[in-house]
Amino acid sequence: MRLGILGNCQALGLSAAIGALAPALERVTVCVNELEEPATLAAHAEALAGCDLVFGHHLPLPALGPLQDGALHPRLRAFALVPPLVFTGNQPDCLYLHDAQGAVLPSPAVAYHSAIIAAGFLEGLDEARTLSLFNAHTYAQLGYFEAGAQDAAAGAALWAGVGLDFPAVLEEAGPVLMHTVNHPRIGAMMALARQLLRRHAIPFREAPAPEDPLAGNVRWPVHPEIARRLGACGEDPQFHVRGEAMALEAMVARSFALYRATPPVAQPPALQRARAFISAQVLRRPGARPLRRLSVAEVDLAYRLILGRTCESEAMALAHAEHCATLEELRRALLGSEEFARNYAALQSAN
Amino acid sequence: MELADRAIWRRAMAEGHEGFDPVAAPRFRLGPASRVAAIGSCFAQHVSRALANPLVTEEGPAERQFGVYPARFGNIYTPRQLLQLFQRAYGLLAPAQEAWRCADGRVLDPFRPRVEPGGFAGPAALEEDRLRHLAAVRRMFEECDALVVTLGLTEGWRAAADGAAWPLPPWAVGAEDAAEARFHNAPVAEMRADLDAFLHGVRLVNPGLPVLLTVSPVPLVATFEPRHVLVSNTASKAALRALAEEACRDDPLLDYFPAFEIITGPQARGAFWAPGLREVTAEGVAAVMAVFRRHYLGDATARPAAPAAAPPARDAASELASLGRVLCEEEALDP
Repeated sequence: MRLGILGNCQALGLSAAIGALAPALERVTVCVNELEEPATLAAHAEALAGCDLVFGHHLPLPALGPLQDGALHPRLRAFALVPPLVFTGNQPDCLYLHDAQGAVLPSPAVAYHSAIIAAGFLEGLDEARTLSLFNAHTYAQLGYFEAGAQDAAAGAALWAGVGLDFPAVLEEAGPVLMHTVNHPRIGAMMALARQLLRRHAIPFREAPAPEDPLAGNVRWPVHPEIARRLGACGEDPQFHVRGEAMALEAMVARSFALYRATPPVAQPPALQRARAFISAQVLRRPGARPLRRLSVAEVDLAYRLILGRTCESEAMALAHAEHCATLEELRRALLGSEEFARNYAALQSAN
Repeated sequence: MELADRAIWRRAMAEGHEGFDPVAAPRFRLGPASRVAAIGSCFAQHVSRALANPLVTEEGPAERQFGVYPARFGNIYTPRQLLQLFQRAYGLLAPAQEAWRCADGRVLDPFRPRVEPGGFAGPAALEEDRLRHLAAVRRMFEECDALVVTLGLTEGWRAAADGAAWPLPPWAVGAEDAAEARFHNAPVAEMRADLDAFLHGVRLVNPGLPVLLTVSPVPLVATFEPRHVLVSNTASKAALRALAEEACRDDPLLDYFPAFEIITGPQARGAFWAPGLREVTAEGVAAVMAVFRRHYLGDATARPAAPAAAPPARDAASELASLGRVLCEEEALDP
């Protein structure tokens, strides 16, 4: 049997895991992050078209040409959608930031930034004071201890939609399953591989985990206070960036140096929450109020009040909670929706 | 409606202090393996010694006062000091002045000026120690299974510039370059806000943490109000007792242990005061700790004692030795 594995950088780990569990399978692995030239796209698409089954991420990007969903899927004999494994419960402070042009802002950890460090810089704290905020109180105030449970709930709903069991992968992978928020450790990939092979009735036998292809990139630490809550002691407290160990102190200093040259412009909700926490509780600015991650119940209540219905799924509610920093942002999002415009127009005409 | 014996003064108080036990219904019990941190005024050190498993997160030589407190923060007399200890440990407060310098070159930590005998060699040594110390404070708050807080004083000293709460005024320890210190006698409402803020914060880092409040029976060594020290002492202890009462009413994870009543109540007939009427005798401490163990430590052998024929003879040497191990920074106010 020939099996295709297509996706972002996670495709490498998934392919390695499947190779360890079912070595007799012939594998075609295409990692879209590592495509060198456009000319190779057609060759990869051709190779995948020759597979009996392809496990793949959702890839709607036009730049992928013959590998994008619309072009590739009609050519495949069988395709099974695999959601990327994204989980912030281990590294809830880790996020992407962007510059004024919308490009991903480089960081001392390649492209991953710390919300606390960026917020400390933007709020005018010095490096030592910013460093002092890496503690359990800050994590509690920023909702970091709940991030895992929230992601587990969101992932469960999303994965169930494609017939996969996200909680089972989490349980099998153990409490620390990620190198970064979107780079799973090989143990998590092994858990996912087992589930996929079982679901598609592909025989396999247990085997030790292979070398982790993502371990050499960025390994973001599970901060000790978070590790303790997860019941995962002995985690390395240092950052590892392409083979180089970096202490938290160095991460703060190098991030500050980078932000002095190129301050972050786009501010995702996690950064807004960190800034609001610092403004209200560290600097005690008059009138400053901490922001907290919205709850599913609040999103659902907003749906009922503004749209007159409950939110269609917990996954959707969690997505709103993740992307809206405040209730006001959520309110604006719902009031600006086409659905509200339709409802409002119908209400006006009825009156 | 029928009242329990303990609710009726004539029945509850007439027997005197032998076997006196005013605890009715403890809200929680601490098992033998419970890691308990006892912090607060000097009376907290007695509580700490009675614990089977006192939590100590900052280890070091005893002569430098390691092990006297769960972490080497010295005595914490007021709710504001307690709140600021938490805030400094978690990066929420950066005091304007982090070191005091004395005429002989010693450098002191304004928040624990007497924990390092001879002071620190310089600001860098103090800073290094402070970072280690505050990490130990965080571990204490996060790893303890219960916290015992002994409220000691309402009178205190604060930096005029930023309100930093110091256990002693700079002049009491010979600091020469200290910022201006202002005397402050905290009202109940302010202490309640500080205690609530502390409890909210500590339960963010240690969810569901039970906290036992006591009020130190040890009187003020001196008052800085323009009045008699007894009047100030009564006002302070009344305010602290009211604080504990009101806070416990609103917080099911907070309990009050009546050490103050056991020592100072009329049933004791003043028997628990050492000469000088400020130090609590060893018998007094033992009486308090027996009740504490009986109700909170789950010690099955510590049943209510039968009234004794006569109080035990006072062993002055051992009593003084015991009391000498209790470090009361406040005494620097009565040179």
